[in-house]
Amino acid sequence: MEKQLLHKEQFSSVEIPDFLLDKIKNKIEQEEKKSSMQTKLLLAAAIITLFVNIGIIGQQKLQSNTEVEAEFNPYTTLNYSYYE
Amino acid sequence: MKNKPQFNVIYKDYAKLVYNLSLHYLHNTEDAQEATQDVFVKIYQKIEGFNNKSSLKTWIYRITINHCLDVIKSKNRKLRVLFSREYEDNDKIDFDHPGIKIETKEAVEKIMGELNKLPENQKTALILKGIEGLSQKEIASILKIKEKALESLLSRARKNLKKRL
Repeated sequence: MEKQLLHKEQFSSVEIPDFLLDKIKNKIEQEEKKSSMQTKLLLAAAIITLFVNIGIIGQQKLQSNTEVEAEFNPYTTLNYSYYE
Repeated sequence: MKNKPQFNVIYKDYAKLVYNLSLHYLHNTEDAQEATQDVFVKIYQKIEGFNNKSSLKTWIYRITINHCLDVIKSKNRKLRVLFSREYEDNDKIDFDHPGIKIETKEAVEKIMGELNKLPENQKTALILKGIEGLSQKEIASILKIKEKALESLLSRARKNLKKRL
């Protein structure tokens, strides 16, 4: 069926328009710009995340130090002798 | 743009193939031009990773076929959403294939319309065999199947097309 109804001779080869190569080159350049921009944005996001994490960890450490200092420690007040 | 000289040679050698194959799948110049652009952008991006396991021609055929099938799928999806009903694939195809000879235009349009409703692999096998005139070996290599499997695929495709016509 396909041999009878669908064969190469029913089609002629269509020439490609001249402007297509320029359009393709423009598209490639746009894609390259987009991908370099994405890389920069990803890098910036990674750096920001790193700094935010460092900040959070620093703050947590500081907070836990303050908590330790504020805790009641009975031995620190025993700085006198019973036999005085 | 890196690889410029190599890319220009590939474009010169294969642009016509990509454009005409896109026309056989998409049936109109506008879509075929858009597809040709996208296929060459993909070729440019992937050429460094191309290993010589298959020929460059086979590789370009695969990229073009996959891209065209994706375009058809996305078009059909949009139509389904638009009409919010069960939409028969390519029910109303915007047919403007400049490569069809006028004397057979009407008949070929009908065949191409029915061909579009076949499963993807059957449609591809018939396009590559009937319109592109490739050998069984080349088609089997493009579809990554054995020649025996291709024979039965072609016979199923012909039977299905015959039924629809």
